[in-house]
Amino acid sequence: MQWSLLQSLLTDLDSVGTRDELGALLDAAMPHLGFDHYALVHHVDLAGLPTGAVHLDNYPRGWQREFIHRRYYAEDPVHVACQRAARPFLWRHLPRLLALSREQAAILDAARAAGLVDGLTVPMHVPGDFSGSCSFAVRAREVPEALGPAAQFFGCCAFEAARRIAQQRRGRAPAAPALTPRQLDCLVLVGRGKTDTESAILLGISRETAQEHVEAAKAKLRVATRPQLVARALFGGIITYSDIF
Amino acid sequence: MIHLIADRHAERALVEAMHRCRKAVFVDRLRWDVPVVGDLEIDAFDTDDAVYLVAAAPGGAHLGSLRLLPTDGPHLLGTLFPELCAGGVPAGPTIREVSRLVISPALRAAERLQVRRRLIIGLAEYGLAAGLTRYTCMAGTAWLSQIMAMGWRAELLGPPCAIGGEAVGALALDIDEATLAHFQAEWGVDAPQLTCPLAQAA
Repeated sequence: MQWSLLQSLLTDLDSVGTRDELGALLDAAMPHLGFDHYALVHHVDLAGLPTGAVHLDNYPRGWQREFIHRRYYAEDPVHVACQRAARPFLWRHLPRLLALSREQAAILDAARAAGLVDGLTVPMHVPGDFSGSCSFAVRAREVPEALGPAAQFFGCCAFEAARRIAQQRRGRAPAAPALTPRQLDCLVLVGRGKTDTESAILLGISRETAQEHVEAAKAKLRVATRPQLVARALFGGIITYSDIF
Repeated sequence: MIHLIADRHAERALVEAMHRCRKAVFVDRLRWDVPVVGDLEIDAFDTDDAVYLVAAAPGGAHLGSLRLLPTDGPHLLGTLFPELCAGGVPAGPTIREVSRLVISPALRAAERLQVRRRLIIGLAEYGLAAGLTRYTCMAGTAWLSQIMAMGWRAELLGPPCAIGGEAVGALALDIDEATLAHFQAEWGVDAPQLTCPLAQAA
């Protein structure tokens, strides 16, 4: 792709102010980038999109419905691969990144049948925000490796524009509540499956104190249960998978 | 606290800890093909001209760091990757190149985020104190999306290329009071992060 064209697309991205304008710009950019479809998404429950989260795509209509209706996003191999990969990847390389379950292989087959034959996904990990991804897909043939760099950079900038627009609607992003170091210690141990008694022994504190730390963390993150606590902390980037495993 | 290290021989222990951390992250984890001396990652640009910003714990442990190179001498974009800048490599006394940003992998996600933010604020403070106008840097997609999300005004300087299997581009970041104020407000940090910047920055 020509440098001057990429430059003008990036300049246009700076000035988009609404979701519709961004969608129109992405529609117009696809042929120049060598792709047919795009999807900018935060990896959240798409059936009940939290405010401030991004979800913008021009996938075939039938596929959009099927994807949300059947909740494919919960185990979509592209989303799962994003959790493990810091780098962009091609969909045809997914089997190298993770052992596909039968359900995941079926999702890829269904996508192919719906006209999403191959694609390029850029994981979007912004600390303190939901993780997400930007994908570009083609209807026929494989994505040539040479399409990579320009599309990846355009994708990053488009995702940021989508984030900016989504957050306008929500207003200012609420700051993630700060946990004390001890609350964080206890939270990580909950994620590792430890009981309060086990955590207390590991940290050299009493069982009651360990429980108080976990309860305080739950209150700060406004969740009711321990699984929610871990999920919320992972989502918000307060802890990462590497803290737990 | 963010230490400004203008003389790499002065704070030897901290500088060595930085090189060790760079080896652990760039070579052992990210598999970069860069020179190694024992368990230290040190390249041809770690010379007396380099300036480092280092986040250190009160006891002196290295938490994170970055490297600043003058652009009127040898630096990554000017020496190794000029093709990333379509209109010529930006160079001059008010432009520095940022490279080797690293956060200690021993820290947890929440601590890493704090160290990263303090380093970025230190970077903005240093630029203002030293009278700089722009930073240049190389960025892959991960770093690019973080820079964009910070709200740092960035310009892509040329067509991104595939380097080591990854899309990499050259960026220029504007340095101004408004950017520093934005970081401070966004991240709830009011205290200056850089130790005695004015004395050493010039």
